[in-house]
Amino acid sequence: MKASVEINFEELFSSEPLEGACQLIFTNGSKDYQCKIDPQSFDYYSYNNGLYQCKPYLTTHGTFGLYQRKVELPVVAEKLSFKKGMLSGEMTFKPILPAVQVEIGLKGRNDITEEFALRYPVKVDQRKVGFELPLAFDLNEFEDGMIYDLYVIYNSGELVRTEKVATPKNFKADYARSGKNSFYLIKPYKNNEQLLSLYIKQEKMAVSIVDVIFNKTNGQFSIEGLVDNEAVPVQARAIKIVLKLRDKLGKEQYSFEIAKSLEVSGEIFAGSYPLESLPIHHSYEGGIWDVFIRLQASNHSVADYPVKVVDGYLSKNYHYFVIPESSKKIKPYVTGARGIALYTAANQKKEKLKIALFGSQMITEPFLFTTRTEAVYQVVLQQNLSSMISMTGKPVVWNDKDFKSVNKNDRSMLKQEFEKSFFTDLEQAAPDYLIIDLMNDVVNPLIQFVDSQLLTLSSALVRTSYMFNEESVMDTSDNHMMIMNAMDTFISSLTAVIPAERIILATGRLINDEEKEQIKRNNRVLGMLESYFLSKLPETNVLDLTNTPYRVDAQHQGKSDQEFVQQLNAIVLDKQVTFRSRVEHGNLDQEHQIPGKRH
Amino acid sequence: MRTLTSTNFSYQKEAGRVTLWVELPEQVKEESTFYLIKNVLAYCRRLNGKFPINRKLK
Repeated sequence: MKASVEINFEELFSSEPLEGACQLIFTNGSKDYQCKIDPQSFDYYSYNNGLYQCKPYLTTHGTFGLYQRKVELPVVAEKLSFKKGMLSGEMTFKPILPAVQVEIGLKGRNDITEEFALRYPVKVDQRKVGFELPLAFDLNEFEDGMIYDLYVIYNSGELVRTEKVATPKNFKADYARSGKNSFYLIKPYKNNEQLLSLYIKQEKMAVSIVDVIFNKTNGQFSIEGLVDNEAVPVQARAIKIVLKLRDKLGKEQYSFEIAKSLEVSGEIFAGSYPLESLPIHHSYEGGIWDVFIRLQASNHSVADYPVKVVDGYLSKNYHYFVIPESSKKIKPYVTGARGIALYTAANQKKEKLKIALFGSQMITEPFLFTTRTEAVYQVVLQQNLSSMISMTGKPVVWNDKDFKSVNKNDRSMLKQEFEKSFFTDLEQAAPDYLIIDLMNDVVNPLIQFVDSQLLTLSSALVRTSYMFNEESVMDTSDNHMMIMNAMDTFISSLTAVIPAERIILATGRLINDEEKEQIKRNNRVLGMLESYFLSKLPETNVLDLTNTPYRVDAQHQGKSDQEFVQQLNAIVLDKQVTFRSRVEHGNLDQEHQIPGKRH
Repeated sequence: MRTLTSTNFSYQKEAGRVTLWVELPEQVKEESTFYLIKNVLAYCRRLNGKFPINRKLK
C-alpha cells in the first residue's frame, strides 16, 4: 500500500515556526516509523515575509527531517549622538520585504513580560535609515540602576521577531535628565556585548536622619530628619515616609510597601507611627522593612530615597515591641549601610504548620531553596514524581531491585507512585495544608499498562533500571475525557481525606527561551486543567504563580519561589491577623504592592 | 528505529513544498497519521508541537 504526504511550509509554519530540527513520524498509535530518503542536499525556502527559512534535511539515520531557522537580520547603529535627551543616528538593516513592519523598541532588562516600554515605528525603505528617539521625554518607568535594551521589532503580520541593536564604534554620551521625572537621569551606552542599552540613574540627594525615638511600651516609632537640597539641581521636599519589606533572597528587591504622612517644615521632616499598624502579616520571620523618604520636586516628580543616619549618631540598642494578636515582635535598628530599618522576629517558638505536597518541582523547590520557609513550615509528605491521572490508576508491582541506584527520597516517592498509596499516606501524615499543582499532568507522559495500570514517566523513573515497553508510553494531553474523569476520581479521593479549604492549588505557567510553541500549548492545557479543578472544588485556596512563570531552563526559580512563599504566608498566616484589625487599629495612609509584583 | 523507505521524494523549493510517497507496511494501513516531531523535547517532551500533516492515503 502506498501513501503520499504533502508538506506545505507556508501552511504549516507561517503562524507557528518550529525553530531547529524536526522529523517526520508515521504512526498508527502504537508503532512509529521514520522515512528514509535518498541522500541529497537542499536549499532554504523563505517564508513569513522572509523572516524565517525552512529546508528538508537528512538525519544521521538517513531519514527525512525539516530544519527551520530565523533569517539573520542584524541591525547596526552608527553615527550615534545623544543631545538634549534625543538619541539619534543611522541604522543599517538587511533587506526585508515591504510587508514587514519595523519598530524600534525599549525593554527593561529584568522585565519578564514581553512588553516594550517604548516603541517607535521606522520606515525601512533603504539599507540605511536615520532615526531620532526622544528617549528622555518618553520614558516613564524608573529605578536607580535600571537598564533598558534597544531592540528592532519585525512584524510580518503573522509573527513578531526581535533583534538587539549592535553598535560597533565606541560611543560615549552624557546623562540627560528625564522629562517625566526630574529625579532620574538617562544615558545610552554600549554594553559588554557591543549592543545598545540605556542606563537609568537616580539623582543623588542626601536624606539624613537625626533622631529615632522608639517607645517599646506602646510601639510608637518616631523619626526626625532633613533633606539636603544644596548643590542639587532638583529642589525637593519630603512628603511621605515609605516602609519597604525586603525580599530575603534579593536584597535590593522589595515585595511590599506602605507610605505614611510626614510633618514637614522646610527641609526638616518628622513623623510618629504606631508599629502595630504595620501590615505585619506580610512580613516573614526575620523580615526587614527599610525606611525611605518619598521626595517631591517642584514639578511634582516623585522618587523614594533611602535615609542615612548622620555621622556621629550612636546606634541605640532598641528593645522589641510585641505586636498584639500576632506571633511577631518588631524593633528599629541602624543597618550596615547606615540606614534605618525595622526588624521583625518571631515572638515565641510555635508549632510549625504541617504541609503536604503533590505536584511538580514548582511547589517543592520553594521548600528546598527558600530558607524563610523552615521556621514556619514542616513538609510531612512530598510527591513530585507522580501525576493526578496516574495516581487514579491501579497499582503497579514494585520491585526493590529495580530502584537500587535511586536516592532514598526519590525511591519513597516512586514506591508511593507504584503502589498508589498517596491518599492513605496523606491521611496518616495529617497535614494542616495540602499544596498541589497540575504541571506533572501536562509535562510528563504516562505509561499505560493493561487493566488501567498507570505510571507517570518522570525523569527520575527514566534514570532507574525499571524496564517498560516504550510502546505503552502515551500522550494524554489531547484526551480531555480521560483527564476530566481522572480529575473527578482524584478530587473525590482527596476530599475524603482533607477538606477543600485545607487544599491550596498552585496555578503556574512555564517559560523557556526555546520550545516556545510547546510551552504555549502546555500552558494552555495547564490553564484548562486548573479551571476544571477549581470548578469542581471552588473552596480550594489558590496560590497564583501565573505571573512568575516557572523557568524550564533555570537551576533555581528565584522570583517564582519568593512569590510562592509570600502568597503561601498570605493564605495560611492571614488567618491570624485579619485585615479588619489592621485597618481599625492602623492609620495607614497608603498601602500597596510594589509595581510589577503581585500578592 | 523503524523506518519506511520513500519511493518518490520531491522538494519544490519555490513553492516551499515537499511531497513524498512511502510504501506502508500491512499493519499501518488506514489508521496511520503523520506527525512532525521536534527532536529535543527535554522537560516538555510530551506536548511537543506535534501536529498532523495533510494526509492522503492511497
